Amino acid sequence: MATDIKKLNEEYLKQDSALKKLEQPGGLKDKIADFEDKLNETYANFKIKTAQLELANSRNDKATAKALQADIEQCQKAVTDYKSKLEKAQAILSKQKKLVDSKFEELSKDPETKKKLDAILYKRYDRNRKQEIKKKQQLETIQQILDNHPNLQKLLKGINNYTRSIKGCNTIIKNLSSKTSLTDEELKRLSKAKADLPNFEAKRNEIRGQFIDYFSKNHPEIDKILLENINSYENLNRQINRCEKSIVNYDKAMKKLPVAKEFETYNKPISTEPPVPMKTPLRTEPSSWLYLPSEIPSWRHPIKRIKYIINNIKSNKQNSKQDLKENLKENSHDADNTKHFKDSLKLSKDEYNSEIVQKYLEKNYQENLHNVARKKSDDTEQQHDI
Amino acid sequence: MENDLINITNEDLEKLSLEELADLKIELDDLMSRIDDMIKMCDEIIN
Repeated sequence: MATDIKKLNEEYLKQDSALKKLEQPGGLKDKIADFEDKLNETYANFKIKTAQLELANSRNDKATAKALQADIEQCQKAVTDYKSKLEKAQAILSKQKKLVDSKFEELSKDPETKKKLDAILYKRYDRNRKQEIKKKQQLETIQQILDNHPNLQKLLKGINNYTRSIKGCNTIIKNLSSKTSLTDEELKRLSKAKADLPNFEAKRNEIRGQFIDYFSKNHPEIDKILLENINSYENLNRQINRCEKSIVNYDKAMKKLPVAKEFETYNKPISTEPPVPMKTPLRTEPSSWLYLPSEIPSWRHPIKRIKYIINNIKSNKQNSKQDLKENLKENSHDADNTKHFKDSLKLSKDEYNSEIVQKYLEKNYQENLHNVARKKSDDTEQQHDI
Repeated sequence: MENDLINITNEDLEKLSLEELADLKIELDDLMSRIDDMIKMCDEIIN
């Protein structure tokens, strides 16, 4: 008898269960995650192109608008293709889900089994919900830390850029390697992609290492696996949103189960309140390599940052007339003062060249000219009066 | 992606314990929800 069970068990283990097929590396779950990444990237690209098109139209720049419109149409064409694939997947999964649901119904005919099944489901939902809450809290803590550390943001930007470059190389290699004959140009592209790929991977690993090191040293409570899966700030936001949605879904599913009330009397009632971020103290003390003053809003929030800069300048103006003169000097378009202005306000080159800062500088420059002209005019009038 | 989809049969389901069946249901619900979201995103871009 014991041998029979052993044999049966071995046979059972040999066969891949449906769940294993779902969860194995490179399995359906991974494929869907890859697809999600691809779609999210296309979505972000679409949003950028749409905004650029609006800008081009407002400037009556027809040539740029035409090129952007073509890009958007190409993007929409790709997404139409994605959608049809997704709909096929949805139809197949829906059939599978119906099959599982009917199995549930069949088993639920026996009240004892139903109770058991409901209890198992409730515990699973509860466990998953708690995991999602913990994950969300950690992700929000990471987000909070990132918002206060521009250098960490730069590292994340580096990870994102290298990830894109790696994807680009992989696409070229995949597309061109499958071709039977290649032109000289294609051969060059293929060999360049093959040569660049290991360099990009090494650089991304190096930056990711620095990123994770910072958290290991200063925030060891943060799960390393979570850090390894963050590729960009947008990706972090998406993960937080996904957690929020999962928590809501698990809450709903738990409440629907007849055993919910029974469990709630033993456990805490199901809270629909959004989970609060972990109360991780934000370390603002200088770290050996990663310290920047936290009072300047992050470059992720350019409007807040420019407001801060403007307010800072305004308060300086009020403080002393000397400061006013310096600020006006700093804000002039004099090339010698550019570096001083950037350094004094801790602006990056991109920020300094951004439209909003340039607009602000232009406005101040005009004001400055206006003040000088008015002062001259006042002086002349005074001289005339004399 | 549709080529990578699983094909669960009644026979497969028979082999599963109640716990595994519950896990499978939760996973499928989660995947369906993610696919629904992606389709909504596609619609937003197309329209």
